Amino acid sequence: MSQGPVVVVGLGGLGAPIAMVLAKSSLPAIRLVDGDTVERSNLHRQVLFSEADVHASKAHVVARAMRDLGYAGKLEVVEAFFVPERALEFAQDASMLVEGVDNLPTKFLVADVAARLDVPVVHSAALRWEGTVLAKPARGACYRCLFEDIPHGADAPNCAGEGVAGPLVGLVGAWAADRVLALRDGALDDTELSRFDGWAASVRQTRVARRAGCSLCRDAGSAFPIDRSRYAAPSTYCVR
Amino acid sequence: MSITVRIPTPLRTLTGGNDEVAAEGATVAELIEDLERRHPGLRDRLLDEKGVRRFINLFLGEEDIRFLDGLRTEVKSGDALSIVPAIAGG
Repeated sequence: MSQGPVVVVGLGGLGAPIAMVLAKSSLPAIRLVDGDTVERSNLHRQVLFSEADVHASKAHVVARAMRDLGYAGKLEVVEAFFVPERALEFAQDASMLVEGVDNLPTKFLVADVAARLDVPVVHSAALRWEGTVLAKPARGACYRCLFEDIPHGADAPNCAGEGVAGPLVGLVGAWAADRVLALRDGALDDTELSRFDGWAASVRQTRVARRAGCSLCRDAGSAFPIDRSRYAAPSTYCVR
Repeated sequence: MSITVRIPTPLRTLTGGNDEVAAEGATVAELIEDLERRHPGLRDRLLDEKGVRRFINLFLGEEDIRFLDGLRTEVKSGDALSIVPAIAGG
């Protein structure tokens, strides 16, 4: 793996535990990307934030917490959203991407950027009591192999409408960070999907194979366009 | 035969909040038809005119049915079908 930064996209309920685990790692560089600010309604599940942080930049608060936890590597803060117009700028020298964002278009965007840069990526998501972590080596099956296109409307529930169980995001976020370290160490040859059910207390893991005809896998490593037309605009964010 | 179907959070409004339901059938397609009879509206959340919807995955045990025989995949007693949709949140 290159010495470029691991780029963490989204610093809320999942991003906070991801950052906490990575703060204790020997990763040489980490870049934190989030344009959001802390809301009081975040506090029940976004464990790095306290009442004193309300209205502060999540990226800056997380960076401060990582330093307090002892992270000694290079730490960069990008106080902006990961949007199609700037995604490549934020990720261009990345050695890996890891995301815990709260909307599906940005998940597809992160997948596309990772494919274009030909770097590993970890996707994490949590909704009510369910969570998923998809860990993809550079040449493994991608997010679009598993989920071909962006769902909309009732097919695209997110935590703004459904809510998220506080303890679950800690579990899923920590596991996403674990997979970052596994990918760094070359421990994964194939893409791995982990599914958590926090209510039934179960974890299931599956190897994911490439989907024949996946256009993203076909274009991986090439300079295909990253423009807004490829994504629906994120319309809702988790404020509950 | 009766098969356990694991229902993800976004679809539990159609199953009375249940995270697991039973369905009868010899193939995945038959299971889905039986699910529709028991829980109207569920089929359209899983399938469109081309087959399994693009942002849904169906796993029989730990195997994605795309890499088995798709909707014609045969099921046997003791199997469990998991519905895995794309989700976002955190």
